[in-house]
Amino acid sequence: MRKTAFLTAAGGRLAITAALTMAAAGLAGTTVAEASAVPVAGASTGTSAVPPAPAGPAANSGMPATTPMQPSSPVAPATTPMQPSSPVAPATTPSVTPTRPAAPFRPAAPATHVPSGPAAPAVIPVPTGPNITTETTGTPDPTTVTFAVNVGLLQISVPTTANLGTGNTGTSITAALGTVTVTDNRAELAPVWTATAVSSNFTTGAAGTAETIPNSDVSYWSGPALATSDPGDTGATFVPGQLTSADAVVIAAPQTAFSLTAGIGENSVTWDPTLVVAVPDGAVAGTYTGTVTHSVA
Amino acid sequence: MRCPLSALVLLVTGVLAPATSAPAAPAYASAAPGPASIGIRLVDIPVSEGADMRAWRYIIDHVPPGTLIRRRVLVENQSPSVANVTLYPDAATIRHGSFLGDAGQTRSELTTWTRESRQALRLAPHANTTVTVRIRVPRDASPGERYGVIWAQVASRVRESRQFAVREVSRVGVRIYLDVGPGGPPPTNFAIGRMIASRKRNGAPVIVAAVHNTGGRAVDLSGRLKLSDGPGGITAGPFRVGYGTTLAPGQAGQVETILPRRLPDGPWHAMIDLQSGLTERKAYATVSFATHVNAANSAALRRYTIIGVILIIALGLAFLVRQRLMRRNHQWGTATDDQLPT
Repeated sequence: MRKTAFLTAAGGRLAITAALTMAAAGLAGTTVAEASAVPVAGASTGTSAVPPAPAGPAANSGMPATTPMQPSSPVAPATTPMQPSSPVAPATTPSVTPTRPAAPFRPAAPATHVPSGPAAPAVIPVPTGPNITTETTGTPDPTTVTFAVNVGLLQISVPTTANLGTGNTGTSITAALGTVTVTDNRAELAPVWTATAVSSNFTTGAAGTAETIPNSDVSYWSGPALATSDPGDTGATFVPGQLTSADAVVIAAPQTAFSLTAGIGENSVTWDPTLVVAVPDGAVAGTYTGTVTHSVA
Repeated sequence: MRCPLSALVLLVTGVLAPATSAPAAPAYASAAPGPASIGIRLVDIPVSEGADMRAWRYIIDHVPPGTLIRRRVLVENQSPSVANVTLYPDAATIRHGSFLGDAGQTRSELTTWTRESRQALRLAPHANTTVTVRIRVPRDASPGERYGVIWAQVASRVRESRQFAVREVSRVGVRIYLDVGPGGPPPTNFAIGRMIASRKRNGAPVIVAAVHNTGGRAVDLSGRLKLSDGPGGITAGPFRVGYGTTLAPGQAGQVETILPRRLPDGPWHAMIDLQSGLTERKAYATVSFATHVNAANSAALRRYTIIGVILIIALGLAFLVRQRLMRRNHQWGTATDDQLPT
């Protein structure tokens, strides 16, 4: 029930995909082992013979309406995803075998057939070939089966290259790294993410001792949030890791840059961090290069 | 928990439009179209974990040694240019109440078990692709929970300048909480300790609850706080507690809830309800936010105290002076008597 409620909450943006159509056709496909690039979103696998394209409501027709998900406009992934023409055999015969694959992950037939009847009331029984995964132990007895979900992504902005300017030995260099944006489109009841920052050593030349500024001399402060987005107006609270330059922390080990501590649903925040490099006295002249990594998980 | 095959059901929840731009968004605009970005999400979830919302975003599982796990992740390029994305596993630790991926590509037991079907992706603008992650747990793996992250990473080019250049790397990931052991999973359990109420400097009331992970698996805490039996019998809340606290087994941490500034001091009967996945715990306490005299009062208090002290000192001095004067008068009096002419 909880799951259904969750889906409904995000329901405005959900659409039924072609996968359902395939399912309605009783498509049992390959297991996912070889599905190296089978896109799930929209599930319009370019090469496989997906029956009708997901015309929004039409795609629902084959589906037993057991959940209150409303199909909005079907969003196939904007462009054809990059995929090798994967050997997704669009097996049109539903093999209902209670499967016993001899070898664990051969993409053999054993798609499980989902009874479209009275499953647990809260779920949509939709079998889709490529969406079936099995975990197997040594024995050929599949013990765990998974289902595929289609929710939003956690995103981080692509970085631009920063330039730190010049500095003399024994001074600090301060520079803005360029804005970083974290967008959480997972539309959850309790969204959680933590963004961290870490730096490598800055080296020049052969990276010897005198040619290295160790990352213990590199500090970081995030500053306040420049822009936030809380579309549901749920009181999303973004907590900066370091609000002012006085709070700057050494980023030899990953330090929290920003985190989300309250809110519901989609959210996004942008900040413009500053890097402070304390050039040690013994550092030789040269162009120092280092890597600053922003991570969010 | 393993689902019998006959009772297997699959779910497809639908498509969520990639939120690059949402001019035609429904009721509300999605998170801002924003700058070029890459995104990642989990695709496959064990049916047995379907009710645990943590399992929808992290790879969470309990498996016996000798198992192979397959999960797919979807990586999307939401930028107007081609993105070269690298995918790799990394170790992670839980410390100070946060789940932190280690710097770079740190090796651990879990990362040696993990492999992606593709490590280097070249994604066209607004394209996505699915990558399969395989985690092969060896037969002699020791029991316990391991933490890691699958990162999708893009890097900027380095532009040489006169003396410094920074190569910036952005990566976004899916956490892994993998527990290895025979039989069923260890229980998830945590205990809520003291609840301490205070006011922040800006006057916002805050309740900090101590939490101790007493179970065998990591917990990601979220929940609600409700206040009742306040002044005049009013209730307040429920308020959402601060998210993001992750505790590994045996760790202790705290969950902080910031409340609206206008709440009266109390006393209140507070009930906190924390959950991690499907495990839920409650705790109760009587709290009051009036632990600090507010700033204006304390200044006045200081003023009066200083005046009082000065007064006391002044009185003491006056008393001493008076004593001395009296003694001197007495002495003068005697001397005069002595000097009377006979």
